[in-house]
Amino acid sequence: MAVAIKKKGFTNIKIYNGGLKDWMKSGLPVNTIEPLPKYKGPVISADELVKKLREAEKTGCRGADGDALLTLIDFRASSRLKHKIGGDRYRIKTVCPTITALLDDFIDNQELIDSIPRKGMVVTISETGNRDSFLKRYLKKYGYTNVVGLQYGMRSWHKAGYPVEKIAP
Amino acid sequence: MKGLFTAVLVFFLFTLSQGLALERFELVTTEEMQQLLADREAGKVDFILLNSLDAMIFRDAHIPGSINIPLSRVDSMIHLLGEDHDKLIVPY
Repeated sequence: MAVAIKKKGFTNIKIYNGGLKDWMKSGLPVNTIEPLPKYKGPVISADELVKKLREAEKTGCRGADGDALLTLIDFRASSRLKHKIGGDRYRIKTVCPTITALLDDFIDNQELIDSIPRKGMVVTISETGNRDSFLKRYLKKYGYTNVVGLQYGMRSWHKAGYPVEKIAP
Repeated sequence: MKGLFTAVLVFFLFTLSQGLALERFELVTTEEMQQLLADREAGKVDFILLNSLDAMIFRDAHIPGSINIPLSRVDSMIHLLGEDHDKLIVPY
C-alpha cells in the first residue's frame, strides 16, 4: 500500500509494520463493525486437493445425485488486475467449477453466496492461505459447513508444480 | 575466504538494491503507534492511519481511529486521503 500511495503523489509515509496482528497481540483495543464468528475451519493441502480433484474429475465433478463434488473459490486480489505478474497469471487447471471473486464481493451479496454449493467440498484459494479464515468465517454465518481453505494458498499449488492454466499474458 | 565471499555478496546486494531503487519506508513500532494516536487525540499531530486490508477484515477488527482503503480499491478510494500530499499517512 505504501508504494501504491507514494505513486499517487503522497510523500510522507511511514509503515506500521506490526499491523493489526501485533496490535492485538499487545492486548490493545480494536474496533468492530461486523464481527465474524469465532471459527477456524479446516484446511486442505495442495497434495490432498490434487488427489480430490483428479477423483472428482472422473465423474465431471458431479456425484451420482448430480450434486457438485468439488468447487473452488478463487478470491485472489489479482483477479481484478489488468496486469498480472508471476503466479497471478495462472489459476488451478480443473473442469470442476471455479467461482472467481474478491473477498469483499461476498459482503451482503446473497446472489454470490447462493452460488456456492452447500454439498460437496468447497475450497477457498487465496495467495498464501492467510486470508482464507475470513472467508470461511463469513460463509459460516450463512450456514456453510463444507468450506475448506487451501493451505498456504496458490503459492503451495505452484510450488508443488500442479496443473495450472494461464489466464493472462 | 568465506568472509571475503560474504563481504563481496553483501556489497553486491547493496549495490543492486540501490540500482533498483527499492522502496524504503520508515517503520513505526507498536509503542510509537500508540504514542502517535495519543498525540493525535491531544491535537499535537495530524495523520491518517490507513488500514489496507479487505473491508471484510476491517469490519471484523481494526485499530481505533483508522480508515479503510483495501489495496484492491486504492484507485477508486484514494480521495479519502485528502488533498494534502504532505500529510503523514501510516498504512498497516
